[in-house]
Amino acid sequence: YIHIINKADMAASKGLKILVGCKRVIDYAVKVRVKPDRSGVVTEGVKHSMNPFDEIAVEEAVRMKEKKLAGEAVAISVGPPQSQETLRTALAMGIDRAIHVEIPLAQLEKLQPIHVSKLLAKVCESEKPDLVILGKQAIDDDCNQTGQMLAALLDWPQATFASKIEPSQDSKQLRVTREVDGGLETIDVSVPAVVTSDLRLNEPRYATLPNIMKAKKKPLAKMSPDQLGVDLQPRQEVISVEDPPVRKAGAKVESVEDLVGKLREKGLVK
Amino acid sequence: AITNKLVQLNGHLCRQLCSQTLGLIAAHTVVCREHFTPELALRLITPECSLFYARPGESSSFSELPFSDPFWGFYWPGGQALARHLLDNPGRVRGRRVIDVGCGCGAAGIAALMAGAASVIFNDIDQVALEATRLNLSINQLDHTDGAIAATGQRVQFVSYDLIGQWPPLCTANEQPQVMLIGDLFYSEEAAARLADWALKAAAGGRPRGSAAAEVLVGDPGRYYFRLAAERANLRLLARYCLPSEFMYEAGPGTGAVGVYATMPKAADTNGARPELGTID
Repeated sequence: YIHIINKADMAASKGLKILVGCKRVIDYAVKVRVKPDRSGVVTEGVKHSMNPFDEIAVEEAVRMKEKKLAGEAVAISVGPPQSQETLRTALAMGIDRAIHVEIPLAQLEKLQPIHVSKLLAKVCESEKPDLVILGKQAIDDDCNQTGQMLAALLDWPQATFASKIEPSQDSKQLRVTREVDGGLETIDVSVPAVVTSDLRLNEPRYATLPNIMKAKKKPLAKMSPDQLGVDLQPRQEVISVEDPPVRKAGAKVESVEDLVGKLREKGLVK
Repeated sequence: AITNKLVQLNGHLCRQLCSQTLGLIAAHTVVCREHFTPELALRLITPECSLFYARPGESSSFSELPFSDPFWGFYWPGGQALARHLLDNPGRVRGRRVIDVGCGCGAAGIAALMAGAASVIFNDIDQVALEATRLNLSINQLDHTDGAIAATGQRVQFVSYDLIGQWPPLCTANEQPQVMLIGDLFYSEEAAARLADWALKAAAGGRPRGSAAAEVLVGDPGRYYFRLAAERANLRLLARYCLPSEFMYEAGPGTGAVGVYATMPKAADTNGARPELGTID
């Protein structure tokens, strides 16, 4: 009558395996300054945090775990040593374990979505996730390319700009609502698939002290681009980075007559 | 005799070094019954406390924490389920010698005392946790002097050594614990492996001669590493509790469902008490 722990009980939370991408970027609230040599922006000593769209991606993965749609959620970040802090935040939000693909500082500035998507594709080969969720774009480069490129490299379906992810009617696929210019588009995609998160997908939770403490004990594996066999040769060269032109001050008018008078002055109205 | 002296000395030093700690603990916690075992009042870091929102590592007003890793400030789900189980099934520990491993706020051991344990060793490598435990004993009318609860005579001990792996732990055969409580410690791969091996040792009786086996009781919300360890340590499910989400600090893989598990000791227990079968739903 001795019960060994029920194997089914252990396999209870099968669910999807989710891989979530997180990027460490300059914090959204920071006033960005261009370097005097115009080669880029100032990053040293500047507050960094997780790309807001990636926070949304992490939150979605954790919610899918809570809903038992997902069994395991793994976070991955491609970046400098400090990307580990970003991964710790993801772990504190509820991700199970993390992978850090460390990029040497020299190659960091020239890293492009093409390289990141290739690195992610390699990791997908070994991790075999059912779903990859990425932020739709990073707020530093606004590229909006990595998710799409990754799907193409893996030959997986993609559902970008997601504002909702749920099981399809027959529960065999994922039903994703996308935010497009014309409104909302709903598509069914089979797994494995790549989804990119848009703003209205969810509101990310604030990681509190108990979660942050426990996150320290969660595993964080390190990898290098060499190990993954990906070449980081830059495909683009940044010529210059400049401030946007300073807007000329406008003039305030007191009445409609004044406005018409000014417009006539400038020859914009007859 | 030497080990007893060492334990006493450790306790004395503890009290000298940590007398200010009690004030700090009181300042950063509130007395709380809003958890799965309202019979226990516990000093916890709740959302009412500023420390709850601290983000160590980020530059902010909270970058200097008064404590490092205050695990004792939280009542982890595994611990809540384990304490609940002891309060509902006092027969498991009544009259027996208990050790609460990684005791944190001391809830499991305090529940064991309330259930009638003969003695409890509170063990945590964090000295502050042991101070928090002393505070919590006090607020539950379990004040102790000279290693015993004043009101009942139950013996208590506070040990800050890392005991994991040793069986029997730091005591003579007479004082050897009969029940080992582990409330929610399986949150890292390393911890899970060490605890699983220790549980096996304890259940088997340690050295081939003389050491009686102990029963190991574990509380766990289905953490990733626990599942691997449970198989290794031959743990069986005793009971499953559904904790409301307000009592969980995080959404685990089995949100709300927290299990209490036990090893089956090889040697027959001298007490004669046989653990009741739990149901696996």
